[in-house]
Amino acid sequence: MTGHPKNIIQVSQVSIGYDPNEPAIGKGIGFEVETASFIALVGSNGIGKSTLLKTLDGRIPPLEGQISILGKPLEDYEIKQLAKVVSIVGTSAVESKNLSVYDLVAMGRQPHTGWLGTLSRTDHAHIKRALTLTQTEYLADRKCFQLSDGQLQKVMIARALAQDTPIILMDEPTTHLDMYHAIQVLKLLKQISKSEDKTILFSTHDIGSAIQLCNHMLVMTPEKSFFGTPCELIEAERFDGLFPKDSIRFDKNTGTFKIIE
Amino acid sequence: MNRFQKRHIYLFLSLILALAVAFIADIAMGSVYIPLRTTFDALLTGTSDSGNWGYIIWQFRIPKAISAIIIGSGLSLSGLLMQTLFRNPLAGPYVLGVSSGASLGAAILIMGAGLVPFAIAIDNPVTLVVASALGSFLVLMAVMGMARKTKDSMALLIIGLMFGSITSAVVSVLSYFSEAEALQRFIIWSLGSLGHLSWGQIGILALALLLGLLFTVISIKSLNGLLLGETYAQSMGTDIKKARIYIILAAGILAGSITAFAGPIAFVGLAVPHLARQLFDTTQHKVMVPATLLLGAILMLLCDIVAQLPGYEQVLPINAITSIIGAPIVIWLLWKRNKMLF
Repeated sequence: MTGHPKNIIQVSQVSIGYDPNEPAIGKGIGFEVETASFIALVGSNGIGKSTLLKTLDGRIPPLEGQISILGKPLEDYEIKQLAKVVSIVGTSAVESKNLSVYDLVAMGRQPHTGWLGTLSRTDHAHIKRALTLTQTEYLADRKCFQLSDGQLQKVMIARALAQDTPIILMDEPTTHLDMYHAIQVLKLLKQISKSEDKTILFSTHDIGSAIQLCNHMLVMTPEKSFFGTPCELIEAERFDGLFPKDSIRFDKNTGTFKIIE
Repeated sequence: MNRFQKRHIYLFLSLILALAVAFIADIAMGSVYIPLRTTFDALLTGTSDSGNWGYIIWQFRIPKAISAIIIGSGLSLSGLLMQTLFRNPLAGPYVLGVSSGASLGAAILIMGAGLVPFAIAIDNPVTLVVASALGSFLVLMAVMGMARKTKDSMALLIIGLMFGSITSAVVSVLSYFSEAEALQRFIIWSLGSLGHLSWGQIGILALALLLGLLFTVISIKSLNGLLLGETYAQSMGTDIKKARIYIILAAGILAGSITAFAGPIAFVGLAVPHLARQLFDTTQHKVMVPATLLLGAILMLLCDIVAQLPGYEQVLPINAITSIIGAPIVIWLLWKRNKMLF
């Protein structure tokens, strides 16, 4: 896709939360994302990472502030339009365990198909390409209940790729995976973001890997959120404020957290 | 995916053939022996010149067989819609208490009408449909509301069970106060029956089936999307609120109107979608909807053949037969692990 403005996502002075009558979960969030960046959202549990993602994919409105996607205010998008711009990969397990991998990935084509959802040759090409990119072609005929967590996560990523949106939002894509498979998924995502010009925004607890792999990060703390490159954030000591200091501290030199004995 | 499509076409052709055979068998068999030849003659020429036999075929057996087809396919489709909507393999019109809701509506109409002076239209089939459909909608809405609060499928089933209890409690109170005649009518209704429907009532049922099917067909993409859950469905362009309303409307119209005319028929709605999923090895609703309709019709015809005890005078209540056949199917599906997967 061409012709996107340089900053594909613009967020300014946004407060997030579910209920306007209660105090906001996160306040004063502001950042701008360039096309094809690979961005991690980090912060402690309950800080509002998922809430921010839900706000960005239009499920809940921001309590305050402005979000634009491709230069157009988020609230002006219809559900169908937004489905062509933003795709998601959630944390919840697939509910229909009997679904075949090919059918699951094919669902990503829904925004592009007619009312009966009949797949055209182009749709099949997109599905096959998504399976190739995620190295899951060999799984196409399997059912979801036959997949390991790592395989399933890749298939869900393939579904988002088949949706062919410039932006992919992911809620903790590596949660159920061991260290090896987690890194494998993150590397794959980074590679796809580069080769396919996708803007990928994901939340994670794996701060060490995010520092090594991401172009930018959003560090969410109770008071404020900070956006920058991993180096800038380390220099500004933004990771130190992430957690209470009684058990772990951030080591600037190695870019990792150390346990305090 | 050509391999699958070819298999599906063969399966559909076989099912259509099976449906035709079951339809003719259902007409040919009954308490009065009618030679197969006469059955064919009556069916093909549409005349009753073979005297009593022709009369029996056109006035009793054909309406009953058509009722069985509409009721079997409608209940099964309703079950499929509920299983997808709730993403719950155990959902179905009977299990979720939707049939109980319809019973409540029917009970209030049949028995409650005798208690209020201005009630008139007890025997009006249209009011019976409206009352039962209202009852099933109310329960479906309530279950839906609670399903959004809890993701636990067990909780959902218990809620359905509770609705069943509340219904039977209200029905007991009503029956305590109502006339013997009305009570008898309600009990006979609750045993389920395919045989007493007039051509006019069959017309109304067919209309309800068409309406339910219409809402299903316009939701077919949303139904597929819902297999991944509401969040994903919405992210793929489905207007969830609208889709939910359409699906509930379809399931409610189907289960409500069928229960109104034929009584609460158990297990068909739950078991048939699973059989279809097993047979066709797919979750795609474009295949599942016609497969469920066909299988539901065939199963109901078979149940009806068993219920009328060929060669005997008696006819067994259809609800007993569907339970005797349906319950083991569900147990078998549960027994073979992964088969009950949704």
